[in-house]
Amino acid sequence: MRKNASSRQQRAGLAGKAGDLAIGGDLSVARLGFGAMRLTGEGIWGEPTDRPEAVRVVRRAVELGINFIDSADSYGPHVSEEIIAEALHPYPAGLVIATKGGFDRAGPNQWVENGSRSISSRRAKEACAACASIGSTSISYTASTLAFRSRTNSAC
Amino acid sequence: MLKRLQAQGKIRHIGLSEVNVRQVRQAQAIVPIVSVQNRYSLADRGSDDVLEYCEQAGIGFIPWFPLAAGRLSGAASPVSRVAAQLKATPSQVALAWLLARSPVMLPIPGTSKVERLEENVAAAGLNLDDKTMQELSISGERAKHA
Repeated sequence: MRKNASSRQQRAGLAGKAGDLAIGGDLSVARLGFGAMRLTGEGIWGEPTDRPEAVRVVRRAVELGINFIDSADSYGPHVSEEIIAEALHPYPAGLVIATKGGFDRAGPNQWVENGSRSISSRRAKEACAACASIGSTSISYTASTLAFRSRTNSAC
Repeated sequence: MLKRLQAQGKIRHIGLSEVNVRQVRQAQAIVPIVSVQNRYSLADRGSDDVLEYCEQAGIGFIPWFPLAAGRLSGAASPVSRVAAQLKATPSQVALAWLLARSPVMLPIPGTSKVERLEENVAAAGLNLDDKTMQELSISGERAKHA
């Protein structure tokens, strides 16, 4: 399996063998996606040690049939979403990128819940920088528990 | 706020992360919820009830830390035994178990290496029979109580 998996001749669409899931009933994605948290440096902080390889990973994921990528503005922060953009923009049709709000980053391995700030101020727009650059690509936004709570407490 | 961004067309759908069933229901009362992302793996099944709720409600379930099978992948463990039988890696078996666990499961293994990515994606082609699924599920339960 491992040997086969490393074959460059492997046909595209391998991720599709996992079957599909229609997110929200209308976004059909292969049921094996890619999580972008590891595209950053140690402690989910800063640049990865090998950025060109990180870009290759994202491109290869799409070649292999992955069309659901999970990210967050807090990965890096921003680094994982910048790498996704560098690797894939302009985005292919059918690609779904999920991002999240709810955390500030002060340093490696430090996660500070930012509550309503991430969704009630301009920070929301920053958090959704990936959305802004995506253009025609569909986006699903994954809120943190805290973001959800604060949203229920606010008037929006 | 998320509801407003959705209305503005900036986001298509809204999901939640690290929530219990009650919180999913609360959110659903405000906006349609399409996905839940909780920590979940063969060795970490604390969100089984949330997964079951998502399955009934047609909500995608995205397990983070999907390969937390370290405790299960010792040389003599069921995961390692199954991996050897299928000529796969323990990580691939852990992913295949997730995929077979529920039709709404959407694992998102991450890596910074192309070789590891290819190994992970190949798990999509790994089929586990019912007996193997049961054996692995029991081993995961045991690890939880160990």
